[in-house]
Amino acid sequence: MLALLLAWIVVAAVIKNSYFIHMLFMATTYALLACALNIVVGITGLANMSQAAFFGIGAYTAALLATKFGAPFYINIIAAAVVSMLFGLAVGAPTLRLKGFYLSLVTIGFAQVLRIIEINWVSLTNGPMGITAIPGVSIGRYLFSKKAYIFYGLVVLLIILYVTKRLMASKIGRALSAIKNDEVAAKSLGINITYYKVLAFAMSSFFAGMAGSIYAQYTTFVSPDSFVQNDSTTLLCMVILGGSGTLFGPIFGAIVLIFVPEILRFADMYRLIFVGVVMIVGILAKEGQWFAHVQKFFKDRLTSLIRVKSGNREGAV
Amino acid sequence: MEELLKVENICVSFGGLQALSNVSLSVDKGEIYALIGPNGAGKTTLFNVISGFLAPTSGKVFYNGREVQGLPPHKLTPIGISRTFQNIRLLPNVTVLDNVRLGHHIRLKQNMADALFNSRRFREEEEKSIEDAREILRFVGMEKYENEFARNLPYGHQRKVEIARTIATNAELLLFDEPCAGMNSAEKVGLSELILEINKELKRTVFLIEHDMRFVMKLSEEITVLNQGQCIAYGTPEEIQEDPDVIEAYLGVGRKGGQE
Repeated sequence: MLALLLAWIVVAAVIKNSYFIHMLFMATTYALLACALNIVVGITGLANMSQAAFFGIGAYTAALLATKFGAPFYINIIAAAVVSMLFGLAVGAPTLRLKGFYLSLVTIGFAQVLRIIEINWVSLTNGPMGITAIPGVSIGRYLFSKKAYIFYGLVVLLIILYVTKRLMASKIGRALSAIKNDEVAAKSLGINITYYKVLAFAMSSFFAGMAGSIYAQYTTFVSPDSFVQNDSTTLLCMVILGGSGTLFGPIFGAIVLIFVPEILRFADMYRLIFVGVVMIVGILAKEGQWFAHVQKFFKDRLTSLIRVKSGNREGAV
Repeated sequence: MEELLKVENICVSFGGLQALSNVSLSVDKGEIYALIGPNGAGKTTLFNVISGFLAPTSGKVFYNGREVQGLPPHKLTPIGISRTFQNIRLLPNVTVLDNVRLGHHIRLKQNMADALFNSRRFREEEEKSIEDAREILRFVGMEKYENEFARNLPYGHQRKVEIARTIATNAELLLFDEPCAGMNSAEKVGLSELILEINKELKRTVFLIEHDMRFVMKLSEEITVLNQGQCIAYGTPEEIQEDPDVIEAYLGVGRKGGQE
């Protein structure tokens, strides 16, 4: 895992091509969002289909603060996180008593309502035209290059990973996983189910808001089209494909689902079929634990290769 | 003796079905109390009412003199009621130790900041929790399996771990829903010894549902018999065995001899 992060940093430092920088930035952002979503979907086992909406709330908050008040980036990111979290609480508190499909439907509905607000509240959001000319991040006189945003995103990603890891090892994480595994048992042990579900939802939307603020200042432009249902679905796919509930899985899911469609761009419309196949195979490969399987596959190959070679040597002697 | 749990005229109906009608009983501090009755008598429904999973249609439940009917489980566990389930509800993909540690949830005082910054309180609490859980596992004789996933344990062992988890909550009243269902006779003997130890050594009050008459007769001090949602008898095991209504409803006529 450390190797992957190092590779990420090295690649980010080396690449010059602006297209690659953009792709890497998007992968970082989506890894962020997927890791945040993982708290709700993977650890607590709730089907949240509105992650892109929280991403959008964060992006709009940061965009408005930066354009109207010229707020610095650290204010933007914190405000975006807090506003997004408040929305998370507002949606979560009344709806998290719902289960399974019902909850998914409510979250989809919420995302749609939010999109309609983004489009129609023209005085605030400038409607479908979106907010343009958002100032980029600057520290003192230094204005962030596009590349710098990758590192900005990675820092936040590390924070999410740290928080998730610490929480998973605490009472809170144990309560969340108990809720995922068996709600009735969790209840019987005195765990306040609704409280913890709302907490997970709030944390997830908090980090999604952060990702939104980074994205808004990176692209300098937000519009309702940037945060559609399709993005929420893709994020859910990333979490499930990478291995929901695992710490690093969603990052792999994000990498695969960001880069594979790009690599397959030559195949035009057929590439989505391939992505679909990747999803199905990935999930069938033992419920999203595919990465562990791939790892094991290569490890086994490697060890058997070594064994064969050393066997040959013995034969020669 | 002091009364710990009192159930007063509990009625529960699901639509047109009257699952419990006017059920009353009282459990004293420190005793082993049994609830028996044929399938569908409403035993588990009564447990669901007492443990807060089901609000009664009417009637009252008192715990330590406090009215508690209709409170959610997460409020009842901290004041001292914990239960097991008829179909074991351990977290399958979690280790035995962590399953037991879930019982500590309500007494851990750590908050999010403690967890994030690995504070002293956090570390001490976690250590204490692991130690306590190990001790409880030793008490129920499952210490060998602490790192095993719960799903890998045989049924009888899972049952013991589930019991260990209720002990971990520090609840004074433990509700066991058919603890020896699906066990062979050797396992049943072991379990009844364990329940006696929980009662005598840990000083917990045990309220259990059971099908196995022999098991109940040896273990419990008082018995209430439920049939079709109504209390049909109450008394000591000896009295229950002689009660003609019970023999007819539950033991079946002619099986009396076999039970003695």
